[in-house]
Amino acid sequence: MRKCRDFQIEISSYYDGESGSDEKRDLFLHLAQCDDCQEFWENLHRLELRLTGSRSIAIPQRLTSRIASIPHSRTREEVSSFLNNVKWSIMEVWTRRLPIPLPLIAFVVLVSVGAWLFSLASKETSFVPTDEVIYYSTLPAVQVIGYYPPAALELKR
Amino acid sequence: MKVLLINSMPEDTLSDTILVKQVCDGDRKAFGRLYEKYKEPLFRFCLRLLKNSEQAEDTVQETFFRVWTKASAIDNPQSFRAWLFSVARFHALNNLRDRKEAQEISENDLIELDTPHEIVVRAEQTAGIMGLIELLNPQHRELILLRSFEEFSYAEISMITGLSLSSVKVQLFNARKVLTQLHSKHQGEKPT
Repeated sequence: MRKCRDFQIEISSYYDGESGSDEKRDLFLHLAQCDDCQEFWENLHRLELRLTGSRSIAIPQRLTSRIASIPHSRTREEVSSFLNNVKWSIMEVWTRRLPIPLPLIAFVVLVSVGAWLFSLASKETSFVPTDEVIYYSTLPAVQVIGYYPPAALELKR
Repeated sequence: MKVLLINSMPEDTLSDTILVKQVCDGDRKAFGRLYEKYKEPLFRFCLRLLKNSEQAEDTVQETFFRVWTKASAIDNPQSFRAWLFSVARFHALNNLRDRKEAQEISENDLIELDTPHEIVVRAEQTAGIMGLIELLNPQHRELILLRSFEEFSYAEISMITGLSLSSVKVQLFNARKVLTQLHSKHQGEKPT
C-alpha cells in the first residue's frame, strides 16, 4: 500500500517530466481521491511559477575582465603565476573583510603561543619528584587500582 | 557515420561539442563564446548557492580557468554543461566548507521546530522567493537551483552532484516539500 508521501514524490518527478507511464496512471488514480496530494500539487505549481519568474540576475562588470585575465598560454609557468595572483586576490578579500589587520592577529597569536610554551617550560623545571611519585609511576596502572589502594600502599612502604 | 551522429544531436549540444574541441585546440574565441553562453546561469547558480557575490565571482573564474586548462580532459563534450556545473559546484562547496555555515536549517528543523513566522516572512519580504530558498540547507538549495532554475534532467543532476537517480528524486521532493511549506506559510501570513 503506497502512502501519500510516495505519491507526492511522484508528483514532484511528474512535474519535471521524469515519470514513467505506470507511475503516471497510479498517480492520477490516487489524485482523483486524495485532497492532501491535490493540495501539494497546487502548492508545487504555485511555487514553480514563482521560481521561474525570478531567474534573471545582474552579472558584475568585472567578471568578464577577470575571465579575460586567464592567461592565453597554458604553460606551467603562466598557469602558476596566474594561480598565485588568484590566491593573492583571495587574501585581499580576506584582509578587506577583517576589520583588524592580519599582522596584528599574527603578533597576538605568536605572543600567546610563546607565553604558553614558557609556562610549560617553567612548570617542568620546578617539578621535584618525590619518592611516592616514582613508586607509583613504576607500577602498572591495573595494579595501582586493583591491588594497591592507598591504605595498602602505606603498609607496604 | 560520425556525421550522422553529429546531425542527430540537438543544436545546443552540437555547438558545445564543437566549441569544446576548439578550446582544446587553443581557440580563445571559442572560449569567449562558451563564457558568454554560460556566464549568467553559472554565476546565478554560484551566487545563490554561496549567497556571496565576491565568492561567486571567484568560483566562476576558477571554473572557467579549469575550462581553459582542462578542456582536453572532458570525457564527453556533449555533456559539457553538466561538467561545467559539476566543476563550479565542487569549488562552491569548498568555499562553503571554508566558511563553515553555522546557520543551516535542516528539513527536520523546519518541520518539527515550527520556524517562527517572522523569519520566513522577513526572508521573503527582503529577497522574495530567493529569501526562502536561502533558508534551505545547501544540498536542498543546490537541487532546487539545478532543477527549477537551470532545468537539468535528473540524470544530469545525478552526474553533477554524485547522488543516485533515486536520491535525486527523493531529495528534490524533500526540498520542494520544505519550500512549499515555507511558501504556503508566508502566503497565509499575507493580509488578504
